Amino acid sequence: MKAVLIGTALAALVPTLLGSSFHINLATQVLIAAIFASSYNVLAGWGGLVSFGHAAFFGAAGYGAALLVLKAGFGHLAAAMLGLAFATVLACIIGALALRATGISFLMITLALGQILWGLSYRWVSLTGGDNGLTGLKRPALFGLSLDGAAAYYYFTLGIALVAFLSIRRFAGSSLGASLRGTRDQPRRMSALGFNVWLVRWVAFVYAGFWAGVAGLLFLYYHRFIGPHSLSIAESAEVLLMVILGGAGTLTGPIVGAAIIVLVRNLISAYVEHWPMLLGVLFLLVIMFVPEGIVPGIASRLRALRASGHKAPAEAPPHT
Amino acid sequence: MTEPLLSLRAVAKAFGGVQVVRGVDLAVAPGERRLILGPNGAGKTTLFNLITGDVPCDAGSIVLDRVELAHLPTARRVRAGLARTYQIISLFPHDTLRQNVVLALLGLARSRWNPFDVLAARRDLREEADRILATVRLDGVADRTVAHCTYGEKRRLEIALALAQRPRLLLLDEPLAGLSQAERTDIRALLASIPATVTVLLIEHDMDVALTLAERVTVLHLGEVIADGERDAVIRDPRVREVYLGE
Repeated sequence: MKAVLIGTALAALVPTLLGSSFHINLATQVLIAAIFASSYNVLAGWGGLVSFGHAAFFGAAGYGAALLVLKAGFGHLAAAMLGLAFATVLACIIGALALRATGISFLMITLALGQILWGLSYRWVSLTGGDNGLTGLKRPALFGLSLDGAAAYYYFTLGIALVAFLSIRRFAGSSLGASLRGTRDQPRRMSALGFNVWLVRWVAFVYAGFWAGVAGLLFLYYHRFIGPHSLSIAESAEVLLMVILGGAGTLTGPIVGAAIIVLVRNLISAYVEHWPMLLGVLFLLVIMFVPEGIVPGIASRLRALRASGHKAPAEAPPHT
Repeated sequence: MTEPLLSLRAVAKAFGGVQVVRGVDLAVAPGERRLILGPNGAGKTTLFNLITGDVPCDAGSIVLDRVELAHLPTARRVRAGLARTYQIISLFPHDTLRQNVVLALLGLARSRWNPFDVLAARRDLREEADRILATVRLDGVADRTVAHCTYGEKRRLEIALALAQRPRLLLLDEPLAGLSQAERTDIRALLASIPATVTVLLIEHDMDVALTLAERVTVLHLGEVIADGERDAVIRDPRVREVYLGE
């Protein structure tokens, strides 16, 4: 809890420390990506279910809310709630279909279903605006406070992010979280212990879809725009990389992974033309030196250092 | 005769063209210790898998205390009172022994669906897990991760997980496999201490130990029951001696 309080205090100081709107906006993007990555971590990190369709829920919530505001004249709150409900119902349906399989078959089904949604958003031009997406959305005011400014939207996102991280943290430490990790490690044994493995995975799938939807809504109101890219395979692949980079199955790993990728994409790309290559090199280094991910890798090396009394060189423990 | 707790009728299973279990009938009385014997490939573990639902039956009926199990998923069968150990140890290697038992306790608890409780703060589960670990004499290493346990400790933990489920029928698949003589003595004493309220079905090749635990024996050969009855009578059966003991 102490770490959470320190982290929150530091995050609250970000607008003061960074000053410029550009950097505050960057921090907002990091938070949105971190919520998205944390939601994916529920599925891939603790559930062992690697999906290539997770962006479907991110995009569905955004498209749902944007359509309701722009085409049906709904208020922001109602549109956001219904957009989130749409993403969650979609997760219920896609989860029920995809979880008929595991491993590579699960991955392929999620990829196929995600691509169907991407195709709809891209081709159904009269509804979705096609490649141009949906534009013209305004940020809502929260209790009379405008969210138009960079700092105001950052604090709004930070509040939602804190709720998301604490909820996911509670989930991970709960009975259901332990059950989910059990289905990842020993599904047959879990059945023999009386667990409905399919149902545990489905609940986790829906839970992950819900938080991806929350991230999608924040993305929508941040950019005031939603386009097909937000539910594309590239978006699903990127969130997978965020989780792997930071450390799957840890609480802080996906947050760190999201921060690195967003910062490299937005900061380094200003100086390095071929910045994706830099990202590739970073991944190579992680795979070579901390294959379990940056956060658990560094943590285990620090533990080894402490155990050896800062004398002998640290030896990596067996990978988990 | 009292009504059997477990009753199998014409249970059959084929993998591709190979008939692994052929019309097996079996009746196990409440509280009984039944030994399932047979050479490798006789269908013993497949029969266990059919009873637990790890593998679906092609035909036949499996009744546990008047509940037809044959078409139920494994989790529902477990809820009906069934627990098992595996021939190849199947535990949660990155968790501690206590966490393994807590998970076993959660399997039948309604709170397993709770996404808001703090599992680490559940004293009731922790104390119950410690009590079960003490019955298998693993309480001293409750905080050790499974990956760092000896093979004998893992075998005992397998039994602890099954006992945590408070089963009425316990299926033990070669619980002594791969153990040293001292560890076998340990596990034998543990198996002998299982309460009489638990009916036990045991697959075991260590005849010296197994025959001291079981009153009745069923012998399988090529998926068929070739002998079934009192221990001494079955062991004296010439066909059993020919098939199993090679005499």
